[in-house]
Amino acid sequence: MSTQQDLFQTVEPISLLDFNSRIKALVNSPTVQNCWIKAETSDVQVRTHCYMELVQKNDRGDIVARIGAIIWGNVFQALNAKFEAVTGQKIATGLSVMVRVSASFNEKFGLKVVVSDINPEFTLGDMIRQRLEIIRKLEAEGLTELNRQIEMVPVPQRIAVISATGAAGYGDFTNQLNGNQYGVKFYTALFSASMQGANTVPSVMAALDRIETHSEHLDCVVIIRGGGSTSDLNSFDNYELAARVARCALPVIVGIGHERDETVLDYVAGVRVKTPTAAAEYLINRGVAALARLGELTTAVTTTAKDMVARATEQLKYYGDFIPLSAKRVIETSRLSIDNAATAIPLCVKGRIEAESLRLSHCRDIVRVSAQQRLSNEQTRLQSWADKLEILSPRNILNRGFALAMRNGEFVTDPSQIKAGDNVTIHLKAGKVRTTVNEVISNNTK
Amino acid sequence: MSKEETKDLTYAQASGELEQIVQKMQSPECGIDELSELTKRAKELLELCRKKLTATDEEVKKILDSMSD
Repeated sequence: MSTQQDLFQTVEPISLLDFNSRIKALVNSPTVQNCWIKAETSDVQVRTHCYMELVQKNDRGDIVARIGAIIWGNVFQALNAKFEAVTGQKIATGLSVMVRVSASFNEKFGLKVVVSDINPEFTLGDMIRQRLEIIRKLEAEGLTELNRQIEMVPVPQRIAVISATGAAGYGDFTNQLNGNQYGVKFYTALFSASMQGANTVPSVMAALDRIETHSEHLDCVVIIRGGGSTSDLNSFDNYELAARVARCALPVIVGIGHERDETVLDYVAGVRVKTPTAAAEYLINRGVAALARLGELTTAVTTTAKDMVARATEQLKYYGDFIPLSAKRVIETSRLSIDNAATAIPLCVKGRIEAESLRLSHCRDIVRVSAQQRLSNEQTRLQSWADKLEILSPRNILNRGFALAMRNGEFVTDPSQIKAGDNVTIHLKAGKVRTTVNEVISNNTK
Repeated sequence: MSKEETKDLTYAQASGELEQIVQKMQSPECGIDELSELTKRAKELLELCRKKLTATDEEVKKILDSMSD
């Protein structure tokens, strides 16, 4: 106890202000001055100056470090412009940033850091990386082609527009559409939504839900955001919104583009254009193309019908001229062929008769010659037979000294026909002899 | 198809039929007897298509106005 009492007696306390002044002196150390740090922005509020929290999260998303930051008004204007020129968006909550900070301690307000510079490329790189991740996911799930596969009618005239009410872009779009010089009629229905800030995603998704309840009366959806080229596009690099657009029952035309580059919505849109005006042009051009085609078809119908009638008339005329001519020609041809026949027939007949006479005469000669030949042959044959008969005739035999014996009118050639005492007549060349048989001698008796 | 039915065609249906008719008219098989009927139908469809593109359809306008915010 005595020691503690000694302490109070010997140590003179300093004021808080003095103490804080000491902290301030420490904080002015070069090790915490003009340091480039990376952090995430949070609770960004722009008043005269820009106030925010800089935080660091771990892999689970828990905040592991936090400090209040301020960008003085005059500095903020310059930094914000520089930041937006590169990233296409203003300094806002939820961005990954690389900033140059100096620790600053105020005796009354405590510790904060003062931001004196920002590296927009760092944020841009981070945004691009995030966007690529979303796009990869959409592609992997087949969502980038889904809306493109919905067939757009030839001329989408009934258009649901998602836009902020009263936005310059919406006005540009409807003015251009309705004022088109080709007289193509369009009908638009506005489904208003927040097109920037934290509410963008839920309000655009809600508008799509409302549109789909009317889809039978609509041809397409146009999502546009208007005005300058320096608006906040970050909200559109959102997976949930992109997936919702991809799954929309109607073809979606996205015209929220920006000079810098596209958002993920451009990857899932049925049709993507840069600006609201370009969206209107796209629709008008479809109408103009359809009108042009109707013009071509009108010409085609008229000329085809005219040509066909002209051809038919010409054909009729041809037949009209041709038939009498043709009949005359047929008659002439027939007459000529009759004349030819008349000339040809006698000639032909005469020729034929001559030829036949010649053939007949030839035949006659052949008959005559062959008859003579045959007669002569027969005569020769008869003569030969006559000669043979002559030689073989009994008379000739008798002439040669042979005799012929007959008994009772029959020739005797065998001794058995007769017996001794029979009367036999012997015929000789010059007469006959009656004789009586003395003895019969047969050749067989030997 | 009656006049009423023709009126109810969408632009896509009408222009689709029209393209087919013109193709048919231009084919060598198309006879003069068919021609008159096809021409008549083509003109009807052309008129309808043009009207759909360029004349205000009050009914459609009313429907879209009613759903608009």
